[in-house]
Amino acid sequence: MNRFEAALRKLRRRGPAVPESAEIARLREEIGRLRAEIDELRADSHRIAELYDLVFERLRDDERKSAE
Amino acid sequence: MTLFRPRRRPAALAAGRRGLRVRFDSPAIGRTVDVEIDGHRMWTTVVPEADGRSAFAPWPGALANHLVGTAAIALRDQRNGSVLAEGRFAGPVARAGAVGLAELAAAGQVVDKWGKLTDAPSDELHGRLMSGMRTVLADLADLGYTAAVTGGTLLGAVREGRILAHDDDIDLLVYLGEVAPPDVSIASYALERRLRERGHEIIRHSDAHLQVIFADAATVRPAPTVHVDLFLGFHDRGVYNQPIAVRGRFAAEALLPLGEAVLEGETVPSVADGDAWLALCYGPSWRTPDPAFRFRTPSSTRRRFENWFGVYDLNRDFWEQQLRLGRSHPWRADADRLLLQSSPGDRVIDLGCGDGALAESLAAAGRQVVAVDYTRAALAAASARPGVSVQRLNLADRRAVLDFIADELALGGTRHFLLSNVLHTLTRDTRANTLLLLRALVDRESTVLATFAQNASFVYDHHRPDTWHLPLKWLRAEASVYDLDFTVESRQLRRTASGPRTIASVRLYSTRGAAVVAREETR
Repeated sequence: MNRFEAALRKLRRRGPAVPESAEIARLREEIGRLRAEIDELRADSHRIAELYDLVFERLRDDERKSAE
Repeated sequence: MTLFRPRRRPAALAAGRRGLRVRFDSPAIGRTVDVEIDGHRMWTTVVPEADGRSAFAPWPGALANHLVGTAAIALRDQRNGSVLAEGRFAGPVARAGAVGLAELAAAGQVVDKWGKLTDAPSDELHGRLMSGMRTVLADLADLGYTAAVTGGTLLGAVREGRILAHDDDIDLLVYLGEVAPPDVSIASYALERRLRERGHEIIRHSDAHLQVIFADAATVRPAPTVHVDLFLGFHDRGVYNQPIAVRGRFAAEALLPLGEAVLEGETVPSVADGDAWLALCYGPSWRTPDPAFRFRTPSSTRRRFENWFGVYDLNRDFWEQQLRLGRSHPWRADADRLLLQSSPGDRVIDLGCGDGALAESLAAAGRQVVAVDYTRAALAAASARPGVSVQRLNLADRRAVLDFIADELALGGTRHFLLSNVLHTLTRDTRANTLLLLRALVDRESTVLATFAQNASFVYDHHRPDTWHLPLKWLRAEASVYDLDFTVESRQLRRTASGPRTIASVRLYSTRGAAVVAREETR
């Protein structure tokens, strides 16, 4: 474990100055999870666009070449 | 009562390693000031209110590598041009080849609105920008796109009828109508292809932001380019989106039909309600000049745009600058090692070739070398080397990586890879694309050598990718997702610009069948 990881672990262990209720902590976690899920869905739709364009552009290229 | 008041002298200014400090009673406090180095304006900043104490303004991150030598510094009031504070910077003595603040100022470099070093705006530059804009607008109209001036260019046109004094680019909007975000990406790929077909050089910043580059062949200074930014605007479920930062209520009727604005005496297309667009982008006080303005994009908008459209041009300016300033120090031992593990006639892909020195030595030893990089300076330097063929590829752009893979697969055969001083300078997403590329193109006969810093730098700076690091366990975890693993060939302590670093040399291999072979060889 390097010194950065050790410092990070120490900070995590400290926890918040004012303890928050279990319900708030759970909701925070839930928001974080939902955010990550939304990011993932957006990135997936981006990936679909990339592949869509790649496939159709290659098909067009092949068509052009076979026409020549 | 004072009968005789001497002319007020500018207050003293202390310039240290971290930034500029003025006394508690300095007239510069709370003002927007141009910071001049040896009489040349280099950037604009706001000296913060200090609550009765001395006020501090940090150096822009782009100057971190240039804080050597000596230079005179002055803070000049943006409103009336008077000098509010003066001082002198005295840094460490510049080593041979180092570029200090004074040299940057003498070379006409400034820190632009994005915090990057660039050529100082001038009438000549603005003339070239207008010429570039005319060309791009004519091409876009010809291709049937709805295009208008936007961003800082619209602001300059509406507020002053000209390009803003400190602006160094032209911003154009290409409006796509009501479309879904993936269709914006697809439209941007088509737009890039069409503009390339017309001979334009394009740099892709994201799927919603392209940059048309105009290089001036008549100028001898390196990379003297001007650029026209193209931002793709669209409505998505009634909400207007225009990356990088604009998202909000802006009706299509406020945009179309396009109106007109006057820029440098010429009529240019503009959105129908320019005032409303400027309020959406710059806030309600857009009419008041604020040269220190910085976009504060809400994190929800930033996340939305980054995930929809990607971030492709991260750190390119850093690498361009490194090469322009002659800071490229190729690790020649890496090329020697690859020579030992390949034969004359073999195809070698040098991913992240930098100035092409390693590619040249591989080519000189009879390898068929393809030098790949995403910086313009690297491609220019590598293409001047004998026996090296050059290809632009931005590893952050997965669409381009997939294209590269398809081209290579069509060529067939075995190829080796060299990734010298590359993997630790990439973001995790870009490294994933690189591993994706390797998985697709590495076969049982391929040799993949990679060298990278595995320990943290003492001068770690998020804006300096050469100070990043990649522990072996991170690489192992990331590579395993792509059916790749590696063996460590050596570890060496090397002196680098980011301090002494432990450099790991590893040999990557595909775990789909080749694992046994590689392990046997390393034994």
